[in-house]
Amino acid sequence: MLDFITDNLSGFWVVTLIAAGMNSIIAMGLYFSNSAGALSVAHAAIAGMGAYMAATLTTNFGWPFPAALLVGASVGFAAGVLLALITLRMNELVAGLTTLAFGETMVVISFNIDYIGGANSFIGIPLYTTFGLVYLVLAIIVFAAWRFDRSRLGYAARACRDNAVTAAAMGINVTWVKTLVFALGGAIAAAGGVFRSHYILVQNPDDMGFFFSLTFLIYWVFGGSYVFWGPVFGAMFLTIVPEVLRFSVEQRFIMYGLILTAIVILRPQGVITRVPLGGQVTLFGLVPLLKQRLGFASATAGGPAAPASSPNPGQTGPGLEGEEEGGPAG
Amino acid sequence: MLKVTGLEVNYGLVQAVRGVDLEVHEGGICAVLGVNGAGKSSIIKAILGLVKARRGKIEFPEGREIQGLPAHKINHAGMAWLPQGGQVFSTLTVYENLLMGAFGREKSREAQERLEHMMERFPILRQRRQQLAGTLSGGEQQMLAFGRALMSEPKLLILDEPSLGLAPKIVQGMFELVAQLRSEGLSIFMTEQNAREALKVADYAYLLEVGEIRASGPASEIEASEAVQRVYLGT
Amino acid sequence: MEQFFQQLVNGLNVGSSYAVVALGFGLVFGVMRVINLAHPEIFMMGAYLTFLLVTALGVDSQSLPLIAGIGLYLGVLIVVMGGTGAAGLVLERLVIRPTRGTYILIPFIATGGVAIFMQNGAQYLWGADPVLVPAIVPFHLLSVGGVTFTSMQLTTFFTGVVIMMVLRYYVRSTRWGRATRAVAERPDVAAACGVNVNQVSQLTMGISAMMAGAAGVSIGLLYTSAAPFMGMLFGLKSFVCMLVAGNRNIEAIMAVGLTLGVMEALVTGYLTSNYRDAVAFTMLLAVLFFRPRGLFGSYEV
Repeated sequence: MLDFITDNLSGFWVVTLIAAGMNSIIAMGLYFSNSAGALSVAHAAIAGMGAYMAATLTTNFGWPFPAALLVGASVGFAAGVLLALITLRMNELVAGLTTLAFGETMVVISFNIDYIGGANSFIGIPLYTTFGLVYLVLAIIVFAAWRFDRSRLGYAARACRDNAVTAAAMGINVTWVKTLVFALGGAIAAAGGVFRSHYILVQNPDDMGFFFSLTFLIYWVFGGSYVFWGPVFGAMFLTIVPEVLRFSVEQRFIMYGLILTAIVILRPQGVITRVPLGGQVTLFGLVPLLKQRLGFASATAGGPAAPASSPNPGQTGPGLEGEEEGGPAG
Repeated sequence: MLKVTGLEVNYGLVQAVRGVDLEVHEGGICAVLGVNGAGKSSIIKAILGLVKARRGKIEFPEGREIQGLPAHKINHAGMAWLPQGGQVFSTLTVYENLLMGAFGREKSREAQERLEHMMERFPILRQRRQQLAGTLSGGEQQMLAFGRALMSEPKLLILDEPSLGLAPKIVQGMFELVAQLRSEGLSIFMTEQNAREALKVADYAYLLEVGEIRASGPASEIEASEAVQRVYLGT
Repeated sequence: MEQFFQQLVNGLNVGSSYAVVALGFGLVFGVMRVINLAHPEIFMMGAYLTFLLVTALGVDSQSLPLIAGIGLYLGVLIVVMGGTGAAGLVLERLVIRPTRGTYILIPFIATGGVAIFMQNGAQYLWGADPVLVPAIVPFHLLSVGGVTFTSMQLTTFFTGVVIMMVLRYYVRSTRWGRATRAVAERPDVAAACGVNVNQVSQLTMGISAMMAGAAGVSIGLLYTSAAPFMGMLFGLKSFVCMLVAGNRNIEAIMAVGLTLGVMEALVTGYLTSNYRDAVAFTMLLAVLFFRPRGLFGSYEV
């Protein structure tokens, strides 16, 4: 069946969709890592670390892909553990910046290790990634994320994110949860990196830098950081749209920058949101609105998802007043 | 002096203030009493323009509608704020804190005179004028906050739980100061948890519970009322 | 030993520009709690504006007396600062003000989008390769005890120092500087004291952008080039300076910026230039690990 799909889509779409799928995997890694309140600007680097590891194994030692994938993911896991432990006691902002520094350090280190190609990149990686494989793994990860959201670990993570002190007082081992969750995300991101390197067949130190980590963060926030399929949506949308906007290389990014800025200003809570109190998923507030209009109104209509670190609870993003007004009175 | 009608303040989905009416008469002290979380701070923030009320009219000083105006304009209209705990600018010196109270008019002769006047009223401030405000004790910071608020020669002074965190002796001195300010013609609006002390000095009082006014009247009446006796004065 | 002092001098130059950009970052972050990701691009814009101006002027720097060269330099500096300052005001009004006060990532991403827009805009307008920024200040060599400086190096350094001193005076001794400090600490209380917080934000953003522009002029002339992505790495390192110093006082950021410049120069001189870019991040990791609040201060987020 997969061959059916790939044979019938044009080459452009196959390539774009595979890219979107790989980006989604890494974005899901970010979803896990950030679910306990961390803010990682290092995921492109973690992805790269996994990629280099796996690439070395497949290219230089002829390892089979699945084994290399596992080892790469383990490297990501280890990196995640390390980063989580380092940033444990820091406030969110400083921790985020530490991850940034970590990522950049990895870039510089990779530039200087000739064994993996240094500045000339690691080339000659065999092609192992296929459409089917990518989407299979993505599906597994999304399923896992769905289960995670409803699991004890997921709740514990969200508790840590919302208020670490209270979480600890409730008996949650914050250290353990934060580390585990971050490391899981790291492993997933690394897996994404392994796929990527075995698709474009080259691995660069540059691809691990701040700009790319920021890109994944953007997928995460833009798509909706509170729900498990938000990052997937973000990655898909933001990967496919620039490709479709192919006027010319530079103009494309100029538009991308503008669109990104505009959307983030207009809808800061992300495209797909979840109301923390009611647990309803909203897409531009449409689902609850429809429900209400059709007579199935529930007590909490689609309302604002107050971002966890908003300093002023009274200020939610623009455009939310409209949603509130649309709800039932009182 | 100040008239609030039908005030409603929301934080997200939570309604903190549900339709409050109150009035502060010129030259009088008006107290709003209530426990933590009753909504006192929300009322103050709405009056000051720091938070946008969902609904309601706020008139100051005489009939001029100020709801929706930005805080600095409301300050220029003659309102000053003594926040909970003083909230002095700890990275500025005592002197600079006082200057902030007269922001925009620091160079004028009136401001310089006012500065002198403050330092006479609170001699400790003169002593510590070059010190960073963050190094002052709690009581001293409160005094500084008073001075800062008075620097703008306000018509209405808003005190947010002025006795909070202060030693009883200092609290006494502070309420004496408040009474003195009234005799100098200042109108005062105050929120307090310490009902006993507040009712001693206030002219008029309101009882706030979960965002609604439960009782209102001259301070002596409120003091004598059964509800207050039971809940706040512990008899 | 001479080699050491020579590297010291080289380093102080770039260091002063790191410090200026870092101060700009720090100002906006301290007052508005926003990380302006487009700040390095304003720096880049400064370099490109210099390129445009100087090329348009078409002066042969060597034919000028030194004073004239410096005068011209100051003229260019002022014009470029005006341009970038205006850009900063626009940025504040359109992008930062609507997103201020929300989750910290929002203005971060919004300004990130602007950065992407500016980088690619520059690439579109002038190509991906660096453009040549001709010299304005005539080239002279000064030698003191075996250490040589060029006239441009001295100019850069002094510009940086003067800017920082002016900023320091502004923040400490003027009414608006006071108001800025008050807003940085307690915006609500400042507003209730009669401070128009929006005005202060505009002012702060304008100053920050002017400083970035000035650094762009300096670096553009120092390295005689401007490139679309020059802001990224430079900005990142300046940001690191801000973090390491702790964003509490100006002197700390100045010191860290200069130190970074010097350390990079020493590493380049004594080890290898490959590791130059790692110095900043290693420093950051080390400092944050032992003193998560920065060397000299702390952040309130």
